[in-house]
Amino acid sequence: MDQEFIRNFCIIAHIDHGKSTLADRLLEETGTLNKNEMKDQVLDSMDLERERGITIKMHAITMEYKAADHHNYLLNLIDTPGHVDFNYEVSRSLAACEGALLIVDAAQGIEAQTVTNLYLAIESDLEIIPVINKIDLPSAQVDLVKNQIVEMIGCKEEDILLASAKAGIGIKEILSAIIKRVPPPNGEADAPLRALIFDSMFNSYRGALAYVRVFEGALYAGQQIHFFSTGKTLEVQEVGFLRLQQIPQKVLSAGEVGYVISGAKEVKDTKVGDTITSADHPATEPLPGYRDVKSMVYSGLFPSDAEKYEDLRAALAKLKLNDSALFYEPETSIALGFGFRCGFLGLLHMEIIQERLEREYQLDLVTTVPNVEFHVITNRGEKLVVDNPAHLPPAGDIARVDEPYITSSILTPTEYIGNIMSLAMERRGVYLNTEYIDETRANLHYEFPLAEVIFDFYDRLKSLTRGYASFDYEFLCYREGNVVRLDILLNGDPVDALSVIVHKDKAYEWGRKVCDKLRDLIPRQMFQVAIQAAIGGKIIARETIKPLRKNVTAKCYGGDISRKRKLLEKQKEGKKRMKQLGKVEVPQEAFLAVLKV
Amino acid sequence: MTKAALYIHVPFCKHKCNYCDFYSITDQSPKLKYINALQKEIKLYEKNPPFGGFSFSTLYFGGGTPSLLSPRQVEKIISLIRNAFPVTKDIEISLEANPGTLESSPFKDYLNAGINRLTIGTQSFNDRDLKFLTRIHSAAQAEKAILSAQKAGFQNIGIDLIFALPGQTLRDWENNLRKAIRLKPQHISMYGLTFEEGTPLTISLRLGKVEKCSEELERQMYLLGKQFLQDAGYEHYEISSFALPGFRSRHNQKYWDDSPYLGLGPSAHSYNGRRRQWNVADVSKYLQHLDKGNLPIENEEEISQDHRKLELLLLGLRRVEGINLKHWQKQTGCSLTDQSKKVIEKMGGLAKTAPFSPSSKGRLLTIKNGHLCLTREGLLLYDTICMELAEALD
Ligand SMILES: Nc1nc2c(ncn2[C@@H]2O[C@H](COP(=O)(O)OP(=O)(O)O)[C@@H](O)[C@H]2O)c(=O)[nH]1
Ligand code: SF4
Repeated sequence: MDQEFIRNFCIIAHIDHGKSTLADRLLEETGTLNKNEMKDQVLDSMDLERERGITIKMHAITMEYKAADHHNYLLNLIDTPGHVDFNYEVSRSLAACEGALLIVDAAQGIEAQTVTNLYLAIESDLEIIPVINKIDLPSAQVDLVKNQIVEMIGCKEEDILLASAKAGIGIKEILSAIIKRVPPPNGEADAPLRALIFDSMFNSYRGALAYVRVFEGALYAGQQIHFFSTGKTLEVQEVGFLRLQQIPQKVLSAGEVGYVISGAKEVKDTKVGDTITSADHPATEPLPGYRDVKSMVYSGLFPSDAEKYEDLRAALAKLKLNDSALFYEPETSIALGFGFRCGFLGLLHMEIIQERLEREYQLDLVTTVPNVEFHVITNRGEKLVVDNPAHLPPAGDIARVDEPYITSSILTPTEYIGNIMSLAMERRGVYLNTEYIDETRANLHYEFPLAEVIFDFYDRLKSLTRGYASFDYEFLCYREGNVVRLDILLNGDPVDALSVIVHKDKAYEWGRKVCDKLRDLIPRQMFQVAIQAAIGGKIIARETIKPLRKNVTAKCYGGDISRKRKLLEKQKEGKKRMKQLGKVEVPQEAFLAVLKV
Repeated sequence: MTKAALYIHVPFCKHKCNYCDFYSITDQSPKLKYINALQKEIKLYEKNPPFGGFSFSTLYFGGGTPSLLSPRQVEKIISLIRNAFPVTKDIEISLEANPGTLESSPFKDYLNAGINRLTIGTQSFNDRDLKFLTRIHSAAQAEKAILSAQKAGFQNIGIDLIFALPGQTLRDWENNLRKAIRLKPQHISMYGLTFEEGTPLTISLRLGKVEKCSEELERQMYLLGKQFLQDAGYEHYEISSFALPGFRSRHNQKYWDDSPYLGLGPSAHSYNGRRRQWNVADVSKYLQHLDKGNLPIENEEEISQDHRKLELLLLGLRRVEGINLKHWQKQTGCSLTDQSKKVIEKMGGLAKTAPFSPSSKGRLLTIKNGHLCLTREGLLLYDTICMELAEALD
């Protein structure tokens, strides 16, 4: 198709502001889906995403639209995930577009994630079309939100569209604004091929499917293609457009969006952000912006039932096929046996993986306290990368430890600024500045040690601001940190799975809380159990579980026997699920509970 | 031939005690219908002898409150039983009596009706305790009942005592024990108060209205009771049971040594060594079933090999005789000593003392003449020990 009649755009919106509903309306209006095919909110198809209300994996869809000028246009809607863990992915899908719809809930106004993504879009030179959605709501504050938007992006008030995705108001106007305002692509059709992978998906029949935007040149079946970042060369088996199904095409040419199947086996061969070029007539440079995705948060995953180790391995391998950001390698713990140390983009990503393992693969897991990756310089000048507390060298051997920092923005109603500042202080935040968006809203900029935000930071923030604040972050750099390894000992023996690396100033509190939690969770045993928290050899907190003194069923006659036996069977099952650490039996919940101190 | 036990559940009480989870109702109006239905149940088993015609060496009227049946009614039931089933000559026939139902002093008549063992539900000789337990009788009534029964000629009397009541002191308990010993019943059962699921007492506990006695105090009370009763000549033969020589409860021992038993009346359980079945715990359903000529069985279970092991363990460790290791091997095909070696080591190894006696280093188990038994320390941790051993079985 002539590039003049192609528009590539995405939607930037905060969760629940109506992205999915609006996407439905656009598909309906353009006849891409008829009412029968129309399933609500087609863009998020995974259950888990829907429950969380976020799009984890982007998809794209091509719409055909006959505009007022009687021309047929191809409109490519590229979906973007809406959570901080997936910033890089968002930036890549933005890079595949020329324009973006900025959807803002008329009753809620702009939120932090929207702001971050909006800035990403502006950086990528996208044409922004602001849309205020949900104008049908009685609580809509259209004028206020208009002001916010004008302040934010410096547009004219007349440029802002009003819509109700639910009631179908303003949909035609949105489509015509896309055609009028979003510039058409203008890559050279005859130049050597450069296509950007903005997403990839694993399909068990066809291998890794890359979703691409062709910038220059053309992609066609039979072509030998070269992947810049992986250095691999493969032959294209099929290309096509993305509708509800894949529609095979002879060729994808400059400006177009579609899929490529090339015999790549796993999504790690079709990395998001990578550039595809022709092996025979290669471009000299890849498209800019590629980054190797790196895990930010690590945790150990262990099957509760040791016999499920192989199942866990197989499940992780399957998930990995479709998730190049997931990292895992075998780990053994004295306490928990065989498992895997896994790396994730962030806590949400971690939770999603855990949930999928438990739900889709029916695995019962024990998870260890998540931690960030530390860079350790030893006294001998060696540099170690430590993603597991167990691997931190003894304090005496360490010259310094660097920990990762993030830069973040917290968008909040101004009345909560005080609360947020005290939370930030508690979390070793480094204050940068405050930007006032309007009289009622401010954007606070902070740097944090990443380790401080991976534990319940988001939940705390939400509860301190009655749900109004939103949070967004990005990796910044490594800085020296005053951290120590805190060990937990049961009757004198350290429990590796409970060790954590924490800031020295917080070690006491952490130690006290963990000991306290464990005292409540570990059942009394026939002997006394001492729970201690220690740094190096020094005990900093201690709790004792008193031994059982009397535990006797008083009566057992004819009618009681079955009941008592069944009780015993149940207790036996419960006991099987306990981990035996030395002589002490520890329920699995104990390992989970320390996540919540 | 194996001798079986026969149990009759009398599902009526004048008032429901707050701690009790036995099946009973306070509406006594269906009593005659119940007796009628009980006769039918006996007849059904007579036609179709249970478990291939065992003869019974014990008969036990339990409840509920069996002393709400008149001596005539009891006599009639006993004669029906004697006609329906083979019974041994020396059959032990026990009846549970509540001191709050004995104003008319019916002891002679019960004796004449054939009852030769009476258990008097005393619970405590302290009125404050009795009030706390919402019992319908006073300490004086209980004492009087015991004395009258003795006077009437009962030579085998048992009483129940409950300890570890909220607020009870060691001294209170000691006084109770003294009183009991002075009355010289042949049998004393002492139970630590149990908070059974769903009882008003347990609800009060959850609501924070009553506070459990500390485990430490409960332990001391148990040890004190044991010491007192043994010093007074009672033999400690089961976790909660003490008897003067020759006066153990033959009926209850049937449960503990895995003998077969037939249970009649609502909620009663029966067991033939392979299967256990239980009656509906509901008087009207019980009546309905028998009206239609059906056995009032609610359900049954097959006792698998694994079940059997757990039951032998649970029951055997309650008794001073312990678990007969040879018998275990024969019954289950495995060696308990081999299987439990590791756990026993973990629990501190075997003691060298006699069953139920103090052991050095607080050891919990001992083996005496090929029987695995609890020591005194072991008695206190019976539940935990059962669990440890149970785990070692698979
Ligand atoms: N009143 C009203 N509700 C809307 C409108 N658009 C979406 N919603 C509702 O807002 C909620 C979130 O919408 P959804 O499209 O799932 O948001 P997403 O998370 O941004 O994809 C749903 O309950 C929608 O029905 C609208 O224009 N008006
Ligand atoms: S009298 Fe006995 S059976 Fe009846 S309610 Fe009281 S304790 Fe339970």
